[in-house]
Amino acid sequence: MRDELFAIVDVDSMYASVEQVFDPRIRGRPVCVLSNNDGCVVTMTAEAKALGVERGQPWFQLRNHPRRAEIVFLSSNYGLYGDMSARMLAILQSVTPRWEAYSIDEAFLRIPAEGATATAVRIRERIGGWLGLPVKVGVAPSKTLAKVAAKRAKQRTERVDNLAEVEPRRVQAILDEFPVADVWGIGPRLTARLAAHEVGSAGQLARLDPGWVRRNYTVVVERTVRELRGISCIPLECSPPPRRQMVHCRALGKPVTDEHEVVDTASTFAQRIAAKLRRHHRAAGLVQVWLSSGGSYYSGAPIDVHGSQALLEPTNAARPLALAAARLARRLYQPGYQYRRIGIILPDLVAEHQVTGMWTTAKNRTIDEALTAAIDSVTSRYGKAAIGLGRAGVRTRAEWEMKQQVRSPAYTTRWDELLVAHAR
Amino acid sequence: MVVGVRSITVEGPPVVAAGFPSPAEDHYDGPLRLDDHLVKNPSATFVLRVSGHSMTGAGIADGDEILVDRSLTASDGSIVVAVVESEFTVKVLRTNPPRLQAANREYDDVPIPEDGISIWGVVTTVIHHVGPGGGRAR
Repeated sequence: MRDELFAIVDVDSMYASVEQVFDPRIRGRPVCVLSNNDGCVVTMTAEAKALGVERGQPWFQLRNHPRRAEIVFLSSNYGLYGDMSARMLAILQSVTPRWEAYSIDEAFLRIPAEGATATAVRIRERIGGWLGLPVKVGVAPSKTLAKVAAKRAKQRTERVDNLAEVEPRRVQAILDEFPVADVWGIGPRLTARLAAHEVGSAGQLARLDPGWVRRNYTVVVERTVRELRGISCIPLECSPPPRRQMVHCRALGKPVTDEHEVVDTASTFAQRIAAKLRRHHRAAGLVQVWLSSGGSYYSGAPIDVHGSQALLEPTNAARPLALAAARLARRLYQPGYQYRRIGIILPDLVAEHQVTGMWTTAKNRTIDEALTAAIDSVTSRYGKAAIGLGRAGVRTRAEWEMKQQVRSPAYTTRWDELLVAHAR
Repeated sequence: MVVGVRSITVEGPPVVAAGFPSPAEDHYDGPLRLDDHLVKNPSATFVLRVSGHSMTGAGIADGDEILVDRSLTASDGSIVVAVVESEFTVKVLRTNPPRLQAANREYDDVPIPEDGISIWGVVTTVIHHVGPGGGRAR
């Protein structure tokens, strides 16, 4: 008997479920959450799925859905989802310190084999009760099998599945019915290659010789084979490695042609990424700006240019990063194009405390520190768009900003957008 | 050359970099933290804004902020946020007979139907801003 097992906790249609926690009117209804630019569906509830809505379906197709009036469409509210995700991780922390955030709506845990099913039920009840979020929990000896168990949990009323409790022959049968395309880490390309070797199920993959798999595929696939056999090869990554690079790249809500707007956008993005750097206690010594027009048949050849500038020394202050980005954008800008994507890339980050400060004058440093502190204190209270350098400080939404036409309030992160409780 | 002396605060009374250690240093546990004082279970606690006057008798006024803990179990006399007609409503829970009671005589009780009612959370604390303009800009 193994001492410890892996569990994966997975929130059912996370974004839509979060929206339902804060809005009783949309409970039990088909709810779809749209991507950044309100472009396509990223999450939907089972009720929406039953109406034939698919993940990734573009919004313009759904506008004409015959039962459009019944479906609730919402813009994504990442601030809210991120806050609920952080709460979920805090709850997992109260169960065990050995967890790994795998994505915004999934986390792996290491739990004792004894009473594992009861632990999984307790986790489910706690997240359901405290946060109102429905989760499923898969438990197994390896991460890959835990993912299989989570898929099974979805079909079961108790929403918990523990493969370690299932007898080995039955596990074989389960894996034989499990499509290889649904196995964790097996993408469409690998699925096609495996099909050529007549491997269509997880069971068939598990029976391949690991050495042969390593020679004909990769070490990664070999690891998957062993994991499917119940031998854990992928450990828990408790602390994510420090970020080596950071990217802030957005498709603009509306194409931009004017030089000032391109420069303003680059400056604003640089300020956003500077704030993110400060949250992660990192600093950047090199700034890259990328402009892209994504041309079409009618508009002619696209333009796709990028340039970089080294800073005197790494920083995470808003002013020097915004200045560098604006300068680069001005240099890269060519008239006559419609710019649809602008990105800021900081390719080489260092820890904040490694910055010596020997290349910056005391006066500039004082200005940057004071300015940064002022910006952070205002944005923490009034939101990201409340203040900034140049156009980033303009309160009205710049034209290229996310459309987000039907975004729910920032219930848990803004004092002026709190959930309302009626006393009547 | 004059080297500027900067004052640094490290979770304690100001320590001047080039000066003597503060005699308070060893006796200082950090400032009072309202978060710790008011929120027992941060991951299950949410802040809501009250709208309306039905709870004035319980010290909950229009515009107040309430802290709602979803990890607590409501019992008779608990102030709760419940879902009534698809709306969040703050009321006192009464179990005999089951009903939601206002803390203001001008408002009627809401009977709880046989199949129950959804309680969203239990109110633990009221934040009431006082003074001209309600104490803080909203």
